[in-house]
Amino acid sequence: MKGLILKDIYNVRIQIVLGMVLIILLYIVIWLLKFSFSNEEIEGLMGVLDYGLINYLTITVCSTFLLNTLSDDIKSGWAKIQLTMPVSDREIIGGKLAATGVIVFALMLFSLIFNIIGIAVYTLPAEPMTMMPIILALLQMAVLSAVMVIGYRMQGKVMAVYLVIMLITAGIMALPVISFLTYKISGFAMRLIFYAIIPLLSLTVIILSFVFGKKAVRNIEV
Amino acid sequence: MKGLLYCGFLLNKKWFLGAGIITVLGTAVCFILFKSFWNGNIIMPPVCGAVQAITAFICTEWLGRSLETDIKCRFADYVLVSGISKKTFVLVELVKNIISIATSFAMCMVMQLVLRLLDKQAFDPILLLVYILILGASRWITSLITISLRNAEKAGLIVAIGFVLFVVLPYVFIGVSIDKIGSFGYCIWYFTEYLIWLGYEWVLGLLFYAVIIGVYAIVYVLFLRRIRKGDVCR
Repeated sequence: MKGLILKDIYNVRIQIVLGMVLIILLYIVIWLLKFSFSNEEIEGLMGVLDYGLINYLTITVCSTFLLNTLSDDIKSGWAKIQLTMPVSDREIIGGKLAATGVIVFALMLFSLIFNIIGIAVYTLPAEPMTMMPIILALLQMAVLSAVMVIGYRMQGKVMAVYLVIMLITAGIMALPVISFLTYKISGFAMRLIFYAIIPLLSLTVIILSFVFGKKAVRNIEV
Repeated sequence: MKGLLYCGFLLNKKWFLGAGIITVLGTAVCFILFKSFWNGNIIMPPVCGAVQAITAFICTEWLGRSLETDIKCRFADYVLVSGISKKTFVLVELVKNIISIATSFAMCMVMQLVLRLLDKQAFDPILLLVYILILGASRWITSLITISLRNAEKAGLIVAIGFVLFVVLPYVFIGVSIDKIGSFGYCIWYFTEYLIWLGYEWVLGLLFYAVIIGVYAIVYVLFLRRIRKGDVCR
């Protein structure tokens, strides 16, 4: 199983490094732009939204490359070959989900470091700045797990489906944030959504993906 | 050529379907939200702009991926040894690019027309055309790099890094430090301001179109040079 996890991580390491370079450049753009704003604007809502947008890009864009490992496995025939090896179906799908988890966790830490710098330098509010990457990572993990299972069913051709699911999820997540900003819902309701409902839903989706994934790995046609 | 175009679009129709779903859902959600709850809210332009950007992104994302698949499964090689000239092959890629950006432009225009009912400023086809052309040119460069790297994602990331490094960063840097530096950026800034002051904004438009056409032409020539008949892969 360790080999399966490492294979996926090695396959996407260059893309992830390039993605991180792009994200660092975007942080530099944001830092340069902050010279044009007053301190009040930096310390307020705009600052948090800037960081939130880049956190979202970091976690979603860089982890998306893992989906390609699935389509490459199927195209090259590896998905079928690995079924003949001494690994169980549970280990195959577990390896995929574990590799996804490792990458998403690393991206979350990367975002968290920049957010903590943001808190220290621009005195941005600590709660949203620390929680944003964690919530986004959980959500992305849930979306990727579900799409991986669908990917086995669709023979790896899943990128367009993934983009639509990811964007619809992002749109749904934006609703409580916009509602809070326009005083339609209270802070308590927003905390309930982001600290309880979303983590529970994400964990449920990940567990269900693991359960259904065990059957889905046998659904490969080469 | 027609066959190559048909197979390219038919194999990748789900990308257009996805873009269509995002356009319809995005337009409906934006329309309902901004009409019922947040009418006249300042967050409307960035939210609608983001939905349009996503539509255009999905509509053109398949170009590099399709070329990567064609190269990896040697379809490109088979095509080039079966009576299709290098020029036709590159022209097909160019036509795919143009049709994709035209489709994304049409989808975004539909969204803008619907949102115009809420706010007249939401309808800005000129600005949309500028963004779509920049996206199209960057996708065209990505196709060229995909041939060298045999990976559309790496190529796309390199183009994105180049774009941020050589276009966005200098632009932001000039904007931020305009009062502190006297340099090339200073000259560009005042030249632009001077043209707008004289009422010659159209000159800026012409310059922009010239740059875009120049990029397309240069990449077309490089593309032709890069393709070797019967051996696209190496």
